[in-house]
Amino acid sequence: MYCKGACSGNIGCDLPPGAQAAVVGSSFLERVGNPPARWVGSPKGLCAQISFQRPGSAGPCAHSPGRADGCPSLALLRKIGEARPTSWLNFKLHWELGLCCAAMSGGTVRSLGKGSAPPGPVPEGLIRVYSMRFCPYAKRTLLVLRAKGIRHEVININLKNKPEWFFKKNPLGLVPVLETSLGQLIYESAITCEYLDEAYPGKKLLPGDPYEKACQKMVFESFSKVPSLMVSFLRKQNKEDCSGLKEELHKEFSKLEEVLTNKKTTFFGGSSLSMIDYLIWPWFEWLEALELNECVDHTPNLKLWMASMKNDPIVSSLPTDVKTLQDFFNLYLQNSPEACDYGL
Amino acid sequence: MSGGSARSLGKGSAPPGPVPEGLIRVYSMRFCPYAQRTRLVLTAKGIRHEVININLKNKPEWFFKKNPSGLVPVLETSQGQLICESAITCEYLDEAYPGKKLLPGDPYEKACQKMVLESFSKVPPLILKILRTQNKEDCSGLKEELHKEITKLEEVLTDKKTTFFGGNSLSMIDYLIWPWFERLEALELNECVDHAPTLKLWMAAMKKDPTVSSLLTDVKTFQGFFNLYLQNNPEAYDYGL
Repeated sequence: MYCKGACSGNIGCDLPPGAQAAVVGSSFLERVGNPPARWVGSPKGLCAQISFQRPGSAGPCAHSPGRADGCPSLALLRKIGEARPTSWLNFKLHWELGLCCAAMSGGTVRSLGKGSAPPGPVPEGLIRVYSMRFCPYAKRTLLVLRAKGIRHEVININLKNKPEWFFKKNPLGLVPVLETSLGQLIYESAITCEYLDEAYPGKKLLPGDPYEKACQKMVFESFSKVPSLMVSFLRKQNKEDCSGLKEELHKEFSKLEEVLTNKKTTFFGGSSLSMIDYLIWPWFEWLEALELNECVDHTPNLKLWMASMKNDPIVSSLPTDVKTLQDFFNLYLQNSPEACDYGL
Repeated sequence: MSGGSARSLGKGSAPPGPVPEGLIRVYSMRFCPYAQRTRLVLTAKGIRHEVININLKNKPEWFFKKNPSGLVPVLETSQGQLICESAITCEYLDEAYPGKKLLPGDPYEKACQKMVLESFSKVPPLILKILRTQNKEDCSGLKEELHKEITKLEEVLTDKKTTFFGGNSLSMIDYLIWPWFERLEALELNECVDHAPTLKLWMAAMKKDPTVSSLLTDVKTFQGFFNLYLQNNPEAYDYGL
């Protein structure tokens, strides 16, 4: 487990540039050795007992936590410690995720609205995503950023009160938008996701085989009616008119069920999670909040897929609380400028 | 590459056999702009292929096994793999076959081409609406909208300062949007590019491209097809043969 220079070298701790600090808690060293082979108990006292250790050396280096205020790695460790992870894997996951999400280590997630100052250029080594906490399209991009461990910062936009400068990022004024440190702008959620998969190393979420890739795109196409159906359902005041919409939704879900049944795999791209699963997932999170769970009653494979998705570490790192979502829907439908920051 | 001018297959026709090895098959229709995308890419990349035209007003039952939505284009490989949706077929061909890449290798440049395709996306349904609208009043409103969409594309070209939408040579995005520009004259919509000089130059450059010109359909033939198509006449799809 390494600090990976989360501060980009700004902190000036006494490790030489490029050196990887082995971050361990002394409680780990005592109980399970280094690196920890298995997790023994909860990291009690982790927050107070972290130290940096040079690789190959016997004990902690002179750098003490006290001197490291402003060190993002330490701040992250403290934050994880507060959440009391229950397993070594869980701890590692939060560590990796935390390193990639710069916005997590402090800073406000309140959205920027009209009259706000435009943000500065994107720091090198990061990519920025303009987002909104409840936007399912933006969630696609966030899932991919996390799945690939891409270091990023999030700027939330008040979609009911958009800053004027935001239209320079995307003339359509929609999220998500990616901005690189070179000032390149990419928008349209599916395009952002494909861009990230191609531009960044690590696990490829899209298959390399042209036919398999085409298959994922065809599934994506057959999913395409679902978002507008769900938005229509959301907007209906009179729940009586909804049976037609529910029927249509049910039909679309049956198409997806067929895909899974024919493929005989858990996920839409095979036996492990891949791009297509992340692309369609955010709308399935809405089902419960919209009281549409019945629409997957006759689609058992889809139900199983939903359960598997909920268990995925990346998906569960971005949970959606049903009540919060419902309250957001209410505010959003009333065009309230408070909607996008609901729950903060 | 023969078969581009073959009579379409309709209801009651025998399903075609498997695709011979070394070939790829495209289910098409001679006047379909979406299928033209696929044929442009097949031709541009020199991919050996056969064309089976489908009568879209009288579809063969077996065709729904190729594409449950019953639409063209569909690609079928010699292994029986089926690929639908025009943009997906084009990307598949570019990746699966060697030779000149029509899509850029750079992820950002590729994303830019896809963003242009997205900003073009309102044009096909608009043009279809205009074709189907008899009422002159409704038509002028639609023509205004088309003019607006075309202005967006003009802006892309003027910002890029290149002849084509992907740079100084023709690439995927140009082929993907061309078929609708080819139909403007036959639909008497040339005025919609009047205030788009860079786009006009692009159209002229496209017509000179060997691939584009090899698949060009003349105005009279388009108009003959459009007339029969609007009358829901199944003969439309074989017009001119």
